[in-house]
Amino acid sequence: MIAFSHYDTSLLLQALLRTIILSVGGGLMGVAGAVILTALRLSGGKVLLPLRLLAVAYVQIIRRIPFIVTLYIVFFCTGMAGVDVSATVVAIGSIGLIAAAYLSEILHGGILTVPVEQVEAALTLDLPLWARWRYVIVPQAMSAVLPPAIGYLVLFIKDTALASQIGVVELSQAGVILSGRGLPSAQVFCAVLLLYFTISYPLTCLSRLLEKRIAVH
Amino acid sequence: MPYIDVRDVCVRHGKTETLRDVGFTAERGEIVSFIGPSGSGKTTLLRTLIGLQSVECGRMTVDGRMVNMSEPGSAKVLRAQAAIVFQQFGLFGHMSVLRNLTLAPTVVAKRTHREAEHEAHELLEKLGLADKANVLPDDLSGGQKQRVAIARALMLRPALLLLDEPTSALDPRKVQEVSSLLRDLARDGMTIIQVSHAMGVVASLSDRIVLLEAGHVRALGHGRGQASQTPDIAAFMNTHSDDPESGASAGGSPQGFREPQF
Repeated sequence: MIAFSHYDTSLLLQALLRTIILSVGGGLMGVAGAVILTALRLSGGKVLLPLRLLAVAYVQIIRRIPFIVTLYIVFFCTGMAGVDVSATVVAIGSIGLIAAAYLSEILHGGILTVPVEQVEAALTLDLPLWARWRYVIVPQAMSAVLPPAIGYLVLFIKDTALASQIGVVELSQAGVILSGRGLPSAQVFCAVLLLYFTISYPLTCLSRLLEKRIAVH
Repeated sequence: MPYIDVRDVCVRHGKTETLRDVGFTAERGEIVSFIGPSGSGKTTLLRTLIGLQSVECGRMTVDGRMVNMSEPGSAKVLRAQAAIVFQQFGLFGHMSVLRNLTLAPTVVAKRTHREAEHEAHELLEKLGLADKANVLPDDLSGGQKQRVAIARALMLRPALLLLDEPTSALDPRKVQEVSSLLRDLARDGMTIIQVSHAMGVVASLSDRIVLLEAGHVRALGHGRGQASQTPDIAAFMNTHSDDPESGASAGGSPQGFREPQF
């Protein structure tokens, strides 16, 4: 059993913080993007047709591209465009772009599970658009949306490890660095595993809690 | 001028003409029943009256106000007057019975929660559901759901109440209670339009009967107790009084359908 030095611990904690920043930043960007994409996909009328088609195409294409490819595309495109941003920002942007597509698919599918009769009942009660979403559609769609959405968020916490490919020192990269400095690899990566578990387990608990609350209501 | 004057309603589903030149009138406080074989367009007609069905042509005068039913804004005008009870009830399963009743009054009509809840409790008591206020709709029987749906519609204080098979899930005693309630509402000035296969209820309640067949009006009957005597309507009701959906068995009356006792 080895004891981590102050420097090793500091490196791991900084990497943990970066992984959290990547996950939370990418997740929030993904949720915001998913809401916009889903709103466009569900929109009606001819005016929004081009944007609707664009949203559908975006979701279909992005979901079929490996994360690492998207990461490199964003990394090199920002470089070519002369945009001076850190690798962490590029990684957050890439995660956000991908999460938006996946979460939009989950959100879209969840909303379509709400029976059309429920929407018609809300219409005949003369509920305005915001109230139809707030009181009727969203609460009913959430039972279909939350479990897979949180499951996906847990999955992509692990995918943030790929950000190391563009130089971001996140949790797994910190493990590689410590291992390369001569620390026993097995113990280093056990510590990394524990830290990944520490940040993803609360999300799983949150998912269970929300599922229970939804079941009650 | 009649309270409701519906004219020339045409509805198409693809190449099929679901409704063709349908029209009828109703005075304030009258009960109108749409009858006809399955697929004759009864429910479609009911849906047009609350703006859920897009129509190719048709106009409707409600309380002297003309509504062009094929215009996009017409639904808003219709819904300001009317409330509907769906055959499948359309209750919000994730809300308590009480919240189902108070949602629209508090959100749309801006009544206070206290006022809306007080009215909801009164209505639930009237409909024999006083102890169901905090229950979720999924925990109710079909008949209870139907009465909750009626209560929810009444919470809107509509001038026009549309009902799709309002007694289909009720036992005979509840059929009488709901029929009695509908009569009281009509007496108070509410115009009621129902789609029903319950010929006994139709015969006893209706001031007007509209017999639909293949999307057009085959016969119109007028006058409480008289409407069902119109030859085509009487013939239809006689042949359909054994319908298991009718809620009334055949025999007992010269018309072959039994009128419920109130």
